Formats: sequence, C-alpha cells, structure tokens
Amino acid sequence: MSSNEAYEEIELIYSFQQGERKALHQVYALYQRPLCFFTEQLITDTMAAEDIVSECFINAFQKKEDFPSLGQLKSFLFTAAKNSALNYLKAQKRHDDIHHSIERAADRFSIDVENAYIKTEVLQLISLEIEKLPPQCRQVVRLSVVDGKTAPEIAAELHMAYQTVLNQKAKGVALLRTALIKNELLSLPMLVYMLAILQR
Amino acid sequence: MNENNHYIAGLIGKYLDDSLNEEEHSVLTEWINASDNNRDLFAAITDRQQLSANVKRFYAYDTDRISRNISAQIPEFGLPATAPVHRIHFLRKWGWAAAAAFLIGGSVSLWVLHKKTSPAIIAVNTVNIAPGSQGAILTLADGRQVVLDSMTSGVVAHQSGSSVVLSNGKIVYDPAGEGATDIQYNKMTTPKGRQFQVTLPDGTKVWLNAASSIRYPTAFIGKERRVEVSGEVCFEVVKDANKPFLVNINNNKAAIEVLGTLFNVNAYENERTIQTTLLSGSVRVVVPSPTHTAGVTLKPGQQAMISSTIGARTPEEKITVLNDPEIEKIMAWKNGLFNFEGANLEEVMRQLERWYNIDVVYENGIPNIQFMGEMSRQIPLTDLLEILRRTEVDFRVEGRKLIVLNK
Repeated sequence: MSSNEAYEEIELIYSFQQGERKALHQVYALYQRPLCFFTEQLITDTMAAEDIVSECFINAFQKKEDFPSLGQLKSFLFTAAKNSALNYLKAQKRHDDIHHSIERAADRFSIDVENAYIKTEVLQLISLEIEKLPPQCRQVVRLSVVDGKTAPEIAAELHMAYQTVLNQKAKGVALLRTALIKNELLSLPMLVYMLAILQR
Repeated sequence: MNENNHYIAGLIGKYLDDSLNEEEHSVLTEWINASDNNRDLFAAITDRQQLSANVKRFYAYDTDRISRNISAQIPEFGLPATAPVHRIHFLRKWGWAAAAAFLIGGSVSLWVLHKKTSPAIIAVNTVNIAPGSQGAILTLADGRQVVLDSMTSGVVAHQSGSSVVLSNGKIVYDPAGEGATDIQYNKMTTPKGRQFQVTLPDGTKVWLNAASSIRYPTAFIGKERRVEVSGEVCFEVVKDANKPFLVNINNNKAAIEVLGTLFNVNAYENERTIQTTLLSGSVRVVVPSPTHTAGVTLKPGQQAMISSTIGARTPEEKITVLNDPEIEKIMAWKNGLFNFEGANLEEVMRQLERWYNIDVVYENGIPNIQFMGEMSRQIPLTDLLEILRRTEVDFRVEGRKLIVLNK
C-alpha cells in the first residue's frame, strides 16, 4: 500500500467516525456488492440478501465511533450479515419443516460461511480490477463482460460510434495485459476470460 | 471470515495467474488437500462458467434499493449516491468565496512572458478538484498511525515521557514527564495535497509542504539534535549552542548543520537540485561522499544548490551558492501562495501535482511558456486552470489526471 493509500484509508475511517456523508457513501460503495454476494450465497434469496445488507449498514452507521479501523468495520459488517443469514435460515426451516437436525445444519452453516467468504473475496478482487480501468473503457468492459452485450449494442447504448467501442475494448485489453505483465495487480482468470471475450 | 481465508483467496488468484512462488504453491496445495470441501471450493471458484456467472451476479444487485433503505433510517446518509465512488479521495473543499474573491481581483497577476507554440483549444469536462489543506499522518514509535487535521485538537497520543498535543492545526510535543531514557522516533508525513506544521520537543518549528516527511526523536537526548527530511521543509530552529541541530536530507544525500536559524529545504526527488535557503542565522550545508565531505557555510539570504545528478563529480562540484535567491518565491508555499515568477510550465505543473494530488501528462510535447505572478493555493483546480488558460495553454481533466494540450 502506498503512503497515499494508507493515508486515505486512515482518513476514511476517521471521517466515517465523524459521520461525514462522503465517508459513509465510500464505505457503502466498497462493501455493498461483496456483502450482497456473501449473504446470497448463504440464503439463496436475492431480495432477502439485499434487505439483510441494508440492515447491516444501518447497524454499522448507528455506531460509527466503535470502529477504529476499516478492517474492524469490515469484520463487523460480515459478521452481522452472517448472523442475520443464520436467523433467516432458522425461520425458513420452521416454515419448510426440513428434516435435518439443527446441530448438523449449524455445522454445515459454518463451513458455508467460510466458503462464501473466500468466494466473495475473489470476486471483490475481480471487480476492483474492473473499476481500476479508465471510465469509458470500464463502461465498455462492464457492458461487454458483465451484461454480455455485443459491440453494436454497446455502441447504441452509449451513443458511441461502433469503431469507438472497438477502440475502447482494445484499450481495455491492452491495459489488462499491461497489468498482467507488470504484475502490479493481482490478475485473475476472469481477466484472461475477459481478454478472450473482448477479442472476439 | 478470518485473515487466513483472505490469504487463501489471494493465493487462489495467484494460482490462476500462474504467479505463485514455491512457498505459496505448497501452502495452497496443502490447503486444497486438507479437505474435500476445500478441493470442491477450489474447483468451483476456478471454473470459468461459474466464475462468469458469479461476476454477473455480483453486479446485478439492486443497490439503489439498499441505499434507499439506509437513508430511511440514517438521515446523514442522505439521498442515495447514483454512482458508486470507487477511489478513496476526498480533499476538504474550500468555500467558493475564496475562489470568487480571487477571480474578482485582488493582488493577483499572471502573464505570459513568451510563447513559441499555439496549443489547441478543446472542450473540457468540469471536474472540480479541490486544493490541498492542512493534514498529515503521524507515525508513532510503536508503529501506530494517527491522522491529523486542523479540525481536531487535544492530546493525540502519549508516549514514554512526552505527550503529543494537537492545537490549531499544529502538533506540539510536551515533554511533561521525566524519565525519557530511550530514544523513540516519530515520523510526520504529508501526502500530496496536504501541508502541516509541527513543533519539535526542543521548540523548533517545522513546516512541511505537500508530499514531504520528517523523522525525529520524541526527546532530544545526547549531544546533537538529529532529524531526517524529504520533500520541502521549512525550519525555525531554536538556538542551543551545546546541541547542534543536524538535518539529514534524502537518506544522506546532503546534510545541514544548524545553529539557531530560519531556513527552507527543497529536496523533492523530482526536482533537479536540493536547495537550502537561509533566511536568518547560520547553517552549514554538507555533501558526503565515500572519499571525503564537502561543505559550505551560508550567510542569511544565500542559497546552496546541490545538484542531484549522478556523475563522477566531486562533492565540491555538486554545490553552488547563489547570493540572490528569490526569497519571496521560495517561501511562498509557507504563506499559502503559489509563486510562478519566472517558472516554466513544467515547474508549475510539478507544484500542481503535489498540491492537488494529480498526475500531469503532456499529450504532445511540452509547451514552452514562462509565467509570472503569484496566486492563492486555496482555490479549486478548475479555477486555477481557468486562469492558466488565459496564457493560451489548454488542459483536459480525466479523473485525477491533468492532460496538457499542445498543438
């Protein structure tokens, strides 16, 4: 971590404690998707996962002063999501009258939590790589990889010339390549996969 | 959800990138073989189809709905942000009043001396980058880091024998307790876009410009007062004939021996020379080399320039003394001003990079323009560029990158 990044992280948690709106939004932007993904892995219900995540942020924002570091805040958010997911599953089980014993389910649940967490971390790494791209390039890459859109569709959606879309895709490929070669970023299979899709 | 899982996730990424070293490889292999669960999880994560589906899912959540839920309960969260902010950057905004006052007039002037090119005029997106402000990171002897800014005040930390107090944006060491026996070092660092003032345990005042640092003991024990600096630092050293004050610059590239005095050191690594300018008192600037040490004693109003170029030159040849440096220009930063008197475009841009925390890129060549005049450091970048544009150079802003256009 460069000294500017370290400074920004310390300053972020400091402003978070002060309740500055920008800091709240940054924390939210940083963890919203990872928390949704993590929770959804546990309860396999997208809407319910989003509701749980809303509650986690509300709880964290209500005791802003309790988090001396970004790490502790992150840990609180994930633990809160895990606990809510477990409560949700218990309520569901009563409804659905599932036959497993509660104890065995609890064992299974703690393994699921670990698995979901590792998966989430890998996905966040991938999304951080995508967000590092320059704005226009990032938009094209997201539409192409995430939404599976073709170059003409992207051109229409972004009011761009078809050639510009191709250029931006090429730029994305070049940037990701450079990142791979310089080994500055943690490159991931998704990047390789993206290269393949983008070059089609 | 522990550190180890975080580490494993990183290893899985490296495995797929084929960049694991031997040790990491064996750690990951051991983890995979530890259980059927790990083996299955590893296979699931690295499967391309599943990964592709997961990335899509990751981006598909209704985050607007979540932020509406939050703002219903947390008033300070406000309205949902439409676009997520991904980089963590926030410089304190200065009021528009300052900018307006500046634009309306005042003692500000800026002219082009001469130009040899006519740069292109291109429409610019209006990203408002705020100017720098007061702030720094204090790294304590035990490695703890404290963020300092002008908003907070009071005791920041206690360390053996002294307490660290912040008041009015300045940090002061209060050697209240006795028994400071072992030497502990603190380091004050300003990132780009921040400047700060610290008062050392002996009462010496130090001003740090942006992207600078000073390392010093929490109590000056022994025969000398020794500090290490980088970037641009101004000193007002308290006289103590029995304890000379020694400044080590950029890892011993040069050193300054001080006897109660006011002086400025500019030692940014991306400037051509290390400049020590003496305002009052007396300092000796020293350049060490493997064979011997060369030095020069400055009189008030003189500047020693040490060329940082590596060559077979002797330490004597590296030092030049200027008898009439532009004191006002050199000290402008400490007084909250940019002074562009006689500066070329590149010099101006290097100052902007450090103060606005931006990177400057020249699209096609560097326009040959010289500037005159001074202006406040407390205006947003957009306004400053608006003024520079009158000198017929043009700019484009992309994120935190400033692109200088030349035709």
